[in-house]
Amino acid sequence: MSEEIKKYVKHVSFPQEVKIKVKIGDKEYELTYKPS
Amino acid sequence: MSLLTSLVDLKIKDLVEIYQALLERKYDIKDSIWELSLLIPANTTVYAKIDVPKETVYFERGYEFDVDKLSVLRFTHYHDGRLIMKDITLDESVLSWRYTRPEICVNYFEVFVTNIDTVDHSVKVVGLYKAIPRELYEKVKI
Repeated sequence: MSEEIKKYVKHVSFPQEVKIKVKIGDKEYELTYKPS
Repeated sequence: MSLLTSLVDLKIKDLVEIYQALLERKYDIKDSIWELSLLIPANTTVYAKIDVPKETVYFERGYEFDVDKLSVLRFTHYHDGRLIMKDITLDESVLSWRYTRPEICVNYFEVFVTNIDTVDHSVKVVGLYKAIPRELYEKVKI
């Protein structure tokens, strides 16, 4: 996760890889979560 | 309801449970959870869209919410663009939410959390679901 999105997305956990899009106000972020 | 009807219902219910157990064993279907923890700035809505992995379909069973303050966050939820929960205020009565039957989510789900307070708040959402192989879902879907 980028540093900026880490301010808002504190924790993500899925058993599988997932794509997540997050919008906060006008800002939009995309991240791919991969289980460790 | 007559005794005969009760017995027939019971048998059908038993058969469904047996068939479900067999399918779960064959396809290694288990209860799973996903977790998403968000910081919601004051007077702001945070939106998250999560794509369901292509090889599976989610049968959502319910949610657990953990909030740092009650009654200041509102939750809206969609499955594949279909409204599931609208503007539910996260107070004590909904912190453990269960569907009466599994809600199917095929491609993506969306979460909107609105903070109506004047200070930032955090929420942890835990989704309870079973991941069904998409191949199996395609065979049985209506």
